[in-house]
Amino acid sequence: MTEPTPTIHDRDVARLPLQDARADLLEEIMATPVVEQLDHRPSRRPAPAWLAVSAAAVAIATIALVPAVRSALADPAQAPVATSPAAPAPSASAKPEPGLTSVPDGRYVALDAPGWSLTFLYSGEGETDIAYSRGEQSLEMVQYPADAYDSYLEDRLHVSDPVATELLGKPSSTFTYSPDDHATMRPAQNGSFLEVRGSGMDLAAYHELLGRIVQTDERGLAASVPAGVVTPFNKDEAVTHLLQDVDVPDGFTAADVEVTGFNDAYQSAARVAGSVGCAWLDVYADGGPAARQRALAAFDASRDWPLLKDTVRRGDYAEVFWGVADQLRAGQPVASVRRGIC
Amino acid sequence: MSQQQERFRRLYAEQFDRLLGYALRRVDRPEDAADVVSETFLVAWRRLGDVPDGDEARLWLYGVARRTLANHRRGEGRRTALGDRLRRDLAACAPDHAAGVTERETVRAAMHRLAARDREVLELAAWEGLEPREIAEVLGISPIAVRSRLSRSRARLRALMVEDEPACNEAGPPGHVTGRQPQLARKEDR
Repeated sequence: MTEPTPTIHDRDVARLPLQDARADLLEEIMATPVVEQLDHRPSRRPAPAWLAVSAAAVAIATIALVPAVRSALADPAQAPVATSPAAPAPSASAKPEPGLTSVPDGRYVALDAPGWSLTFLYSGEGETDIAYSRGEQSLEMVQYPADAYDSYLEDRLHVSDPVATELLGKPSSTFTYSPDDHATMRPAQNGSFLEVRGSGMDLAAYHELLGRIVQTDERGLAASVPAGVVTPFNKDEAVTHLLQDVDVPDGFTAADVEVTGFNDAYQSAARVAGSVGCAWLDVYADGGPAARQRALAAFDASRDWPLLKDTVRRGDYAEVFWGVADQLRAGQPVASVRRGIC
Repeated sequence: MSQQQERFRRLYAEQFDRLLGYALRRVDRPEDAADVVSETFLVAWRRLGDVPDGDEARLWLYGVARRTLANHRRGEGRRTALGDRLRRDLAACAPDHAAGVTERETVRAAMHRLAARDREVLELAAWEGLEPREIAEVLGISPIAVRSRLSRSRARLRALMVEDEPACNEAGPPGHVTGRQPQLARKEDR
């Protein structure tokens, strides 16, 4: 047994005696006038921001080393933040720093509890996801867009009956997945709602941990995260650091990299590599044979890029990125390759 | 027949089974899948200009279907007058879930204990066979976010399945190995 398997396969669906019903439905639909505008369309991600590289001007450039930056940031490979289950357990040095301050209306949350270490941090797509662990125990806090509250609440009502709980001074609802696995939903504030999930602890311990959650602002969260996390305050240096020894197209600079909010070392590396990779794909798509060759050479060389090598043991992004050159040589459309890494 | 009509007929023929399969795997009653399929294809018909070509069309339809499904779960589904026969025929001929279940009980139990968003990425990967970039299309999020969620939800599923494994002294019939930790395939590693 590996992945969960479906209750019914497509091949079984094809064998169902539905030919007549299927034909009826087709005719019914096509008899419907096309007048209504429905907003069911799945959202589309915006196009990459970095698009303009003149094919004629393309040349491989290497971002200059900035030695001072390396000392300003811990080596991402040593940072306790991680994303994959294969990552080593976070070290004790990752515990929140004393700089975590409470800001009642702040838009972020953090955990201030002894022995707990940050294991994951990602913000994007309107969500902020931060997770901590202590041994086998874990606490994850996700802030979702406020308009998703009702649908998530409906889903959780299928998990268990809600139990009234106060979280960060606001009436909230706790759901029980199992005796040592609970989740609490806090209604929206500042455009997002918070869901906390604690696993590996009983309800009493979970409640105690809820009391150690601190609402804070951007500066407070930045002060509480370990080195290696990219924050709005160290973004420029961090991106420059990550771009060390990375081949970038002519004209590409750290300013072309889109990293917003807070991201752990893995997420940040993926975003930086993604920006560079997209830029090279633009070169490949828009340029002549020489430009294509340069782009392929850059993707080949990416196996030596430090930022990707550092992420290998934490997740799969690097492996996907390293497959790009082969995909392009095999004739896979650039648009398809782009969706894999951008 | 206009080009639009021809295109829709082709889309319908190519994607009907997959979309119906997607819906059947996610509803409690087979006839509800008829509503999801009817509503989704109706949206596609009305917004045919938005439907991408090729295999991307399938992802687009999944994206619409998941919203339709969410509305139905919230009791907000607009039960269309369409698809009455499909509803009836599915109620009569679709296998019930108990008979169709091929996965181990421990996996099903563990899946139901995952948060909905974690369960959804796993289902799209395992049931629909989608790659992370395709899941990202369906969910409207970045492939990076999908990989993160997949990675963590698989780890969580593994942990839950270990919790749910019967102890050695509760072993099943002879020859049935119950104590082995399952290893999940990592499609995105390929």
